[in-house]
Amino acid sequence: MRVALLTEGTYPFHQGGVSVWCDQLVRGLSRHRFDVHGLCATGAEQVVWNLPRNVDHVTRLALWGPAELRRPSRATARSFAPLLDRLLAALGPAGDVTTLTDSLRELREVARAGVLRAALLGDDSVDAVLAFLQANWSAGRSGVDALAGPGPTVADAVGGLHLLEHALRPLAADAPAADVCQTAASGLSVLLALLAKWDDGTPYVLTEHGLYLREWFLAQSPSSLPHGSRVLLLAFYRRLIEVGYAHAGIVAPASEYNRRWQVRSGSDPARTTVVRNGIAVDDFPTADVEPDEPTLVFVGRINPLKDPKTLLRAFALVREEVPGARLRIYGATPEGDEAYHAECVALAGELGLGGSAVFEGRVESVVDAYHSGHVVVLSSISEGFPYAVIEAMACGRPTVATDVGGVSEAVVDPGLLVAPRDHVAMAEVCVKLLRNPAVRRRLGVLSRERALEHFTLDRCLAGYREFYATLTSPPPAPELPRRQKLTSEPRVGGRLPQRRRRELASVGHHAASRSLLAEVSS
Amino acid sequence: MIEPVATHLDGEQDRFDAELGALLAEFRVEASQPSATTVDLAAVVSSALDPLEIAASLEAVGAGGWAVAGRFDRADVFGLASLLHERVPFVPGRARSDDHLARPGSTVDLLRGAIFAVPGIVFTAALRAGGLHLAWWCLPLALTIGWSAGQVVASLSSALRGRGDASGERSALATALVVTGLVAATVTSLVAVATGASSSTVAIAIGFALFMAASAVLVAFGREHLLALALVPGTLGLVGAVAAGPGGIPTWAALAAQGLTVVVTVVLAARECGGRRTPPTLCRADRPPLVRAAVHGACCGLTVSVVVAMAVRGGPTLRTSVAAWPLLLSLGVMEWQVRSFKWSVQRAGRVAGEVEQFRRAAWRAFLRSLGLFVVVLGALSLGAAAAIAAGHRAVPVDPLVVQAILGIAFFADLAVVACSGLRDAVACWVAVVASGAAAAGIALVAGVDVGPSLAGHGALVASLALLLALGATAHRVVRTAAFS
Repeated sequence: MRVALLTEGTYPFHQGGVSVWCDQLVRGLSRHRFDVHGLCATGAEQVVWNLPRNVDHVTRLALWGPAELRRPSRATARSFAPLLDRLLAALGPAGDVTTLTDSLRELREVARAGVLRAALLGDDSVDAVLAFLQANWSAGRSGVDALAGPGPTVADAVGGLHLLEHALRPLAADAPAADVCQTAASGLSVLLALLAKWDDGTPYVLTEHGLYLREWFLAQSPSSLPHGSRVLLLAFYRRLIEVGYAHAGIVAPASEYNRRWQVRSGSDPARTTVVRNGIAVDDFPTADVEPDEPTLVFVGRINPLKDPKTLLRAFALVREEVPGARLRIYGATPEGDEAYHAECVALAGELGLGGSAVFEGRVESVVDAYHSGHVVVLSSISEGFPYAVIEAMACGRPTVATDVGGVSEAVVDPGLLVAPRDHVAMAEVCVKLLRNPAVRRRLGVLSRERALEHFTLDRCLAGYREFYATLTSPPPAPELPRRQKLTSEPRVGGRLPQRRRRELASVGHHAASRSLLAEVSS
Repeated sequence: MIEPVATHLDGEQDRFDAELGALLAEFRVEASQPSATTVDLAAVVSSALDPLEIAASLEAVGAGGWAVAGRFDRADVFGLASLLHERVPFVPGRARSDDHLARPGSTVDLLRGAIFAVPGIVFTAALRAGGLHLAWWCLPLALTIGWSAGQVVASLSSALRGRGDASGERSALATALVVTGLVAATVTSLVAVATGASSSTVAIAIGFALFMAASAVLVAFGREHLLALALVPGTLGLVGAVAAGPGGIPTWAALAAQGLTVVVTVVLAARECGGRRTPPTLCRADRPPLVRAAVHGACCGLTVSVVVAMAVRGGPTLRTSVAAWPLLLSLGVMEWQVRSFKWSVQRAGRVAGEVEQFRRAAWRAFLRSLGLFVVVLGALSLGAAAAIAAGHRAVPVDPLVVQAILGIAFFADLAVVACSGLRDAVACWVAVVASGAAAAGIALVAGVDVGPSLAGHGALVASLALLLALGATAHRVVRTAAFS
């Protein structure tokens, strides 16, 4: 079976949790052949993963690299105006999944002719977007200040169109040729999946780790993106994500938490089945000994979503209670986050953490990193179902984590969870653990047991193997003529048996369980 | 500054709304503590375009749990988000970038322009004053290669810096410097062998091309002050040459002064390219813009060569080359006004609520900046004519007119390029240069005797054609809203 793996900003060009999942998938399903179609920034990205033999091709699709500005013919320019009107109508309050899908199909033809950029950036398009912004400036909200301010300007419309043009670049790509497409995120990689679906009726599985829409909201706050651009782009992404869910054969969130958001964002609950990330537990042996000095460990990229600043602030409080404590921060700094890394280093200096908080950089052996501390800490403000937590659990290390994404579904004790950005609570839990070796050891044992029982790689891979088989199995209905088959909704309802879906989603939820940690007095 | 949501709620006596206000106030971020990573819940809630946006922010600040939602009789974070979306008055968001505009032109740009003008004046004048006889192709070839390399350097730097690839940028610019030297050496050597030119012609052509590429590297890194420093030896050489009069200083001295400037510039540029270097993150899609930049530079170099060649055709004296100086001396004003124009266009985009309104404002800004530049260039040209006439020599009308027209065309070119219209500008240049070359070729084949007068008229026609083409392009490009 041939699988097209569709990624955005991750595998095989970057490290990170989503890339780990992709690597596990292609290695684990060794009898499947994979083509990787990676949406990337410029197209100059290098492959940083050692690709297994069943990966046949890697295709780069640049979203931000330079683009040719070919002027559209008069006929194309004339026909583009109503096309854009239909797109904007699809993004407005009266639009729906069908109208956006139809618009995207029409835009694809313009993109393939190489004139989408010029057509989108024409003065007529700017005028049309200005009218759209005018109508949707407050997104239907009322308020005393709803009409305050200058209203949309040409710069707002142009800024939004520039960003929209980048987002639509995947439409110019060739459709992935495969039996099934697998997206590693929602959003723009869905456009590639749609191309395959339109051309060949190829079904796709949509997997989301960090929720695309949620992370878009956090990254593109009102203070970081002009309001006009936000109005246009949010309307686009919101509807595109609905389109992605609507046409997916199966939506496979990595946690119940994700599933809740996805259903809220328009995903059909009947086709939304949780498959949690898993790890090869043999690769994560239990740590037999603890380091001499009380040590906290963080494993993750240094970027705002991981929020290491809260961890540093928490650690400063920990040092007041446990003077000899150390903090080891393992993880690379992604391109573009260098300034943020510098802010973190400066903060450590301001907090007087000196040599006690160390940025270790990228680590070769993540197991050694987990083993180098008494407690593993995760300070993220957004997560899907983080590997750092389940890997640390497999290593028998207690994990203090923020209650975000699917983290609460992973940890063994609710007392280990704290609110994101709450450095005081984080420090309190860390101090408790550092001071109580018996509780620490007990939690470590329970964590490993839970990881072995629920978060194995085999369990995760079995889920996907079954998804692909289900989606590509011949439909029970009699064969239709080919043309008709292409235009029909192909096997969208590829549903798993109820029993199997329950199995995939079942993880003993601890929310009501007794907290071992809560019993420990600080 | 964002209007605090809590103040809207304070006025209402409703306890429920006051509690909501308290919740938002709990997660306020003071304007004095801006950060790209903190969530100002109040600001997000008041500007949110979707309840889910509020839900995401509530979770990110740690208020997404059931406990907080329960305080407001809501089952979960989505219920609380919907409540806030409904109850909190809307205020359009204000991004940090909303207040950011490219700086307008200033007197600093006059100094930058002077740095660009000095080498042209110094090299040509000092070499002429030193009585050095160069082959006719020396300067045109050096200018063409050097200008082209300079544009490629700027394009490479801009592309790689946009990707945050600092180490790749250093590698690429170092490579560009080496390649420029190799290309200049190869081409000039071949031409010298074919025409029997002297080795000093070859050395000067290579030096000039390298100087231009190296100064582009320094400008790319924002090191104009180092470039100014490197120009000191050459400028002193010029002063000495002027003081000594035509042929008054030995050739070796004139060459040594200029050579020192070239060496210092190249060394400083190479130093800027030092440090950790990695292969640049360039891809296939980068090729067309780089090729365009190279062609653009080559056309500019070739055209300026025409002016220089015309200016000195009366003989290798200092006075005759004065005809090319008004354009060089007005480069600072050009830099200043192009920047001001760009700023005005950006501001027009931020103000105009309709495309037509923007088009009018942008065109007015272009005409205003161009007008000021034309006045200065005209005054300088008249001054040059007066200076030449004062020396009881015939005023070289053709070169003065051609350089003035080319100056205006250059201004239009820069304005078009500043509005992302490099592709359109290159089309104009290529069309005119190709037409000129074709005309020259036909004349050569037909055996027409191209004397100074005919050549002067030809240059005049070509520069007028260029001005018309670039003027028409500017009229279209600078009024395009997408380039704002």
